[in-house]
Amino acid sequence: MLEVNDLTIGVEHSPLSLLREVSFTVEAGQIMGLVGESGSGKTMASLAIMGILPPGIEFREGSVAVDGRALVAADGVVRRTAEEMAMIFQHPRSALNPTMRVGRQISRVIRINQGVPAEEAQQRAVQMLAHVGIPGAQRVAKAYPHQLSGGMCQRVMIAMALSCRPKVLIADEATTALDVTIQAQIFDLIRDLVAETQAAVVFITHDLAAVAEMCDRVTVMYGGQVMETGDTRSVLTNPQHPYTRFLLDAIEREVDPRVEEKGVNFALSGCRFAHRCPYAFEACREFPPMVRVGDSHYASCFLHAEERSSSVTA
Amino acid sequence: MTEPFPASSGDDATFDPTEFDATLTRRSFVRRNPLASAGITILALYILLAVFGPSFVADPLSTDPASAFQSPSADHWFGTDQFGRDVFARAVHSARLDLTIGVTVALAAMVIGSLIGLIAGYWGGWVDEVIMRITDVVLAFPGFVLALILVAVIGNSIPNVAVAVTVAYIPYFVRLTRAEVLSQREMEYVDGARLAGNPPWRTALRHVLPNSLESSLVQATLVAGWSILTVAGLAFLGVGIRPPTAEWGVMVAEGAPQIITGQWWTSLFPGGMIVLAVMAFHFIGDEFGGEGY
Repeated sequence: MLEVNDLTIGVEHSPLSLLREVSFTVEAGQIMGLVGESGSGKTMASLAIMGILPPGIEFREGSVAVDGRALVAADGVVRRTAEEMAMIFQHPRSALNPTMRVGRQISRVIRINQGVPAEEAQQRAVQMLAHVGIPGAQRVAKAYPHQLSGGMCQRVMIAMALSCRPKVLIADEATTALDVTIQAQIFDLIRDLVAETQAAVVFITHDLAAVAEMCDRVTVMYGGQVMETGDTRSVLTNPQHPYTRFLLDAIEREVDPRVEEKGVNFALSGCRFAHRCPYAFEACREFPPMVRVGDSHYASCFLHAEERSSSVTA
Repeated sequence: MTEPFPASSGDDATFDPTEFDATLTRRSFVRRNPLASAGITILALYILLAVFGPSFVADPLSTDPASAFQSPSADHWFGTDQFGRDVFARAVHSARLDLTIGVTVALAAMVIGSLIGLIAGYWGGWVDEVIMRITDVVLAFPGFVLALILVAVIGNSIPNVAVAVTVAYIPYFVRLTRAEVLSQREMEYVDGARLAGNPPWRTALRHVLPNSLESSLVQATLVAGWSILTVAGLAFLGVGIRPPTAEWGVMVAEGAPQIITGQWWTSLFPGGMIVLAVMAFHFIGDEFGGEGY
C-alpha cells in the first residue's frame, strides 16, 4: 500500500543528509511503528512522505508511492490528496485552528477534497465526530478547540484525518502528549478504525511499549538511517542490529558505557551508528546494506553481511 | 488545629457549579477590568454625544460678535469664543468629526497593515525583506512628523488628513502582525490546513491571519487615541484641518492666545475633551493588552 523507496533528503547547499536511503512498505490494514530517539529522523521521514518539508530541506532521491501511484516523484514534486494520505499530529491542541469551530474545520477538509455541498459536509463532520467516540457530537462540533480536553482534541484530529478515508495514515507521536488512560483509548480507537478502513498506518513514536501494543511491524531508525525493520515480535524479542539491542537495553538495564559516553555524531558516509557501536570494524566506513536476518526481518549492518569485507553488497 | 477539610455542615455547603459560574461572570468584568470599564463608559458617552449631540446644539459656525468672549453660563455651557460662537456646540460637533477620523484611521491602518504584515510574514524571503525595509524607513519618522510631511504634500482637506495619519500608523500593524504570523505559521494546524489541500492564500487568510490579530486589535484601540491626538496636533500647528471647521485641535489653536487675556474656556474645554477621549482609548487598550503594551 505505502511504499517508500531509498528516500534521501538533506540540507540545502550542504553534503549533510538527514535521511539516507530510507525504505519501508506498509500493507493495507497494517500498523507499522517507526521508532528511534530524538533526532533520528522520524518526523523528517513523515514530513518527506507527506511532502511538506520545511524550507531549507531538500528532497534528494527516492520515491513515495501509495497503491503504486508515485506521490513524491524523483523531482520532489508532490501530488497528494487527503483521500490518499492524512496525518495525525503530535500536539492535538496546536494542530487545531484556535479560532475555528472544530466541526467546521473537519467539514472544510471534506469540502475541499470531495467538493460536496456545505450542508452535507457539515453532517458528515458530525458523523465522523460521533464515530471517533465523542459523546454529544452535534454540540462538540460547535465548540472551539480551547473548550475541549486534550483527549477530545486528539479524537477531533483523528476524525479530521479520517474524514476522507485516507489509504495511508501517519500518526506522528499521536499519543505522546496524552496521559496513559487517554493513550489507551486512542490506541483502541486507532486500531478499530484501521481494521475498519483498512488504512496503512505509520505510527511514529519513541515509546517501545506503545509499539509492542499497537504495531504489526516496526522500523528502527538512527541518525536518518533505517537500522532494522521487521515483525514487531521478531524485532523486539530477537533484535539483530546492535543499535536496536542497546535501545531495548536502555529500558531496563544499563547500556554498555562505550555506547553511552559518546554523543550523537556520525560520519557523512558509512554507517550512522558506527561511531558509537562497540562492534564497529573497518567495513563500517561504508554504508551498510540491508541484510535479511529472518522471516521478513532485515538489519542494516555488516555484522550480518555474508562476507565481512569492505565491499558493499547492495 | 483545624481540620484541613472540614466536613460539610448541611445543605448550604453543597457545591453547585452552575451557581458558582453565574456569580463569577456576574461580578467579574468590572472588577477585573476597572480601567477598561471606565474607558468603555467614557467612550460610550462620547459616541452618544457624537451621534445625537449635534442635533441638539446650536450651529457651530454661526457667529455673533455682540456676545464674544462670554464666560461659561447656563446659556453657553462652555462660554463663547472671539466670534461669539458657542464653544459647547463646536466641541460637540468636533466629537463627531474627531471620533470618526480616529476610528476610521485605526481600522484602515489595521486592515491594510495586517494584510501587508501577513504577506511579509507568511511568504518570507525577499518579499519580507522589501516590505520590512520600507516599513523601517517609514518608522524612522515619528508618526506625527510623517503625517505632517504627507499633509504638506497632498493638501489638508479632511480626507487627506485622515489618509496621511493612516499611512503614518500602518507600519506599527505591519510589524505586529508579521511577528505574530512568523510564530503562528510554524504551528501544526497550519501544516494541517496545507495538508487538507488549502491553497496558500486561503491558509494565510483563513487560518494564519485570524490567529495573528490579537495584538493588532489592542494596538488599534491605542492608535484610535493617537490619531485623534495627531489630527488635533496637525490642526493646532495650522497644517491640518482648517478653521472655521469645528475640530478640537482647531479650537485649541484659536483659543490658546486668549489664555493670557483671561478667556481660558475657549481652549480648555476642547483640550479637555481631547485628553478624555485619548485616555478612554488608552484605558481600554492598556487593560486588554496586558503587559508589554
